[in-house]
Amino acid sequence: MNKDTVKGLMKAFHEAPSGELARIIVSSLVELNEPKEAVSFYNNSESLFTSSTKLSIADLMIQKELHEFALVFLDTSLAGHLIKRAECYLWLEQLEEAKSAYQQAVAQDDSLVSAVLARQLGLMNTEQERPKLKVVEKSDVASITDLNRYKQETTDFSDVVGLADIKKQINKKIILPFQKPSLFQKFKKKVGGGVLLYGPPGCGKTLLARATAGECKAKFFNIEISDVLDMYIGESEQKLHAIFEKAREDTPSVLFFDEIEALAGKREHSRNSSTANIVSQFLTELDGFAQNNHGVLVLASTNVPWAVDAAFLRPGRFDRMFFVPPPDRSARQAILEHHMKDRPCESGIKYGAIAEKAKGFSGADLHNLVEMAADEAIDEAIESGEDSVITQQHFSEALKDSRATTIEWLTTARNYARYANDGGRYDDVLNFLKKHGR
Amino acid sequence: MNNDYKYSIAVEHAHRGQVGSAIEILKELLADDPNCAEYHGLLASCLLMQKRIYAAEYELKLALQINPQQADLFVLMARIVFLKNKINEAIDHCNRALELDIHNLEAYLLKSSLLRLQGNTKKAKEYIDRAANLFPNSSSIACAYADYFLDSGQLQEAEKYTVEALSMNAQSHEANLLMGKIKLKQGELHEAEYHAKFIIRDDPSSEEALKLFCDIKMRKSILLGVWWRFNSKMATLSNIKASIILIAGFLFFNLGAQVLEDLGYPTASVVTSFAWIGLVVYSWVGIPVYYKKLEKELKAFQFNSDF
Repeated sequence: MNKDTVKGLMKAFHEAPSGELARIIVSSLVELNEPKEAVSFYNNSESLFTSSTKLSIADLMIQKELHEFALVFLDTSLAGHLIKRAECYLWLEQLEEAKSAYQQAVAQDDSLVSAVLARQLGLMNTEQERPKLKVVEKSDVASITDLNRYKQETTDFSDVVGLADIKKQINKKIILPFQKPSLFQKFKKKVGGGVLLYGPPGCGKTLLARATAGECKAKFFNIEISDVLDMYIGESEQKLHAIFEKAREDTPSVLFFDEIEALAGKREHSRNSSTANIVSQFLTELDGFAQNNHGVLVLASTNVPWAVDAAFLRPGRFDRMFFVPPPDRSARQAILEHHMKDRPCESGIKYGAIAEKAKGFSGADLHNLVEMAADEAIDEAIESGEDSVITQQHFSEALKDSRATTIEWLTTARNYARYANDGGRYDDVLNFLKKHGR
Repeated sequence: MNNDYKYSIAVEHAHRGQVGSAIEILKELLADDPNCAEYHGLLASCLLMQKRIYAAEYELKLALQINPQQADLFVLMARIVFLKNKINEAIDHCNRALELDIHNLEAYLLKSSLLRLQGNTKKAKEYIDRAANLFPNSSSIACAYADYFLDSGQLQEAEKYTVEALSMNAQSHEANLLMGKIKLKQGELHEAEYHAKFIIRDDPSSEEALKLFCDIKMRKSILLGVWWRFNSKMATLSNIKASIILIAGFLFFNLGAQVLEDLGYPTASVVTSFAWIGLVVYSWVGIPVYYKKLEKELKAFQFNSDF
């Protein structure tokens, strides 16, 4: 709406005054950045404004940072208005007035209590409001050892069936720098950094991360979301900082964050500021601007790399992304044989044929398939009352009730790889789809 | 549990498509506070998701009586009256929404679509442009442009905007549907099918995606296409509508049998009278077959034989 239109509306208002028209005029004047005119018009037609209209205009003014004008529209007796007055006074740095307005508002309606506002106004009794608060500081990192149940990882690449390509890449880009730090330091190459493993669920991302830590001969910190998230404001960030501090003290170390999207999700999708704060803290820790992250490898895994905030994928953070694909036929066969080890089975089970029928099965799906075949054998043993072993037939029965869980992931990933492949981040997925899909 | 918290749960359920439970919570909330426009508004929105247009309109009218200043309610009303084919009235509601909130993206885009339906393409584009000025990086706006260009036969432009929309939100149903339509027009049936399946996997009740899927099948084989279209329509019918169709079928076939008998074709008459039984049997057997076929078809991604 331009100024001429508003003038037209004002004329119409003088002919036939109405509350609705008055509201539109005042809102338009605010939108046009004419707060003085808006206030002057309001003063001449105040009786036509309802309290909710006044509140919405005040909100609009607050959005436009016109706090001193917003105060004109806010009542001095209604709770909803008083809380807004407190915000305005705080913005205008009139602390006493802000405190008084806040206290009056809260006295009228206790649902308006705002911990953030109270803290800004210096009204919060920290002890009372945050009874369980335990700030973890750098000097206090020893006290969080229970938080970081680190251990020397004994898993290594021999425990990971298949995934030969990715193991080779990890060896070259991650493990070697750990094993020969002097060589890499000579060329000013960083040891450690951030690595993101992504792919369909159940395909071995977590196992690969453990094996990587084992190969690096580093301490492995498996960080769970509950280790970081806390109900109190600021606490989660402190915990995250403490975790990194601990890893920095114990180098060489590997920090592993499973389901990283829970901590590093896109900030635009979060509904509260605390999520954004954790993301910012995480980024700060990864950057190592104030700290030295030398010798700290941060491994993360996710099934939804597209849900991870883009800031994490920039150079210096999780700048190495590895796609952990579903196992191919030979890997599926090897996984089946691995899970069948030490189980009673008939000789001559054709694992190759089962693997052929289990296209798209993840490692977890194959494990489940073996479990189902074993269940079939147990049922048979109970029914017949005789000893039974797992047979090819049991696998055939189990296959009927199983389905590949990676297909859904690949269907979604295909779209991201095709249309949202910024900087070639999903090139590995595209290559995989090109090579193995139709 | 206080009402605000309950309401936030209802919103969450509605966003996730768990409309039934959202409605239950909202009914509880309204029993406690019947004068809350927000509750009525969200209930209307949920009812609309269930395609209960008249119930949604009733709730929305209540919401608007309580709070006639909320732009989103007018946008919702515009959607409802549009479903009742009252395009002019829908445009009026969009105008009202824009009067109340000049930043209401949905109102701009809906008004643009409505203007396009009225044949006012120039004005329709103007409204997308206005929205684009306000929200430069929106997947919905890219979709609106794509839809506009697709409608006007400018496939390349449409594809450009759809790719843009998908790059912002690769899981957007709207963008995938548009890409499917574009690929179908370009004759890339495999690609078109992928996008249609992508949506159906997520929302098997998506009429537009099912229609696209049937159109693709139709392009491959008319007979197959007709089968898919017939079954997809039958599968979405309510019990009452299905019964009405069966009764209509009964009358039609009996009338046909009578006419054939009068014309002196007794054998054809007997066959026709049995055809109704065939229809009844098919309505029993055909739909499960359709669902089974659909489930098989929905594997949007397939591995090579050598994997």
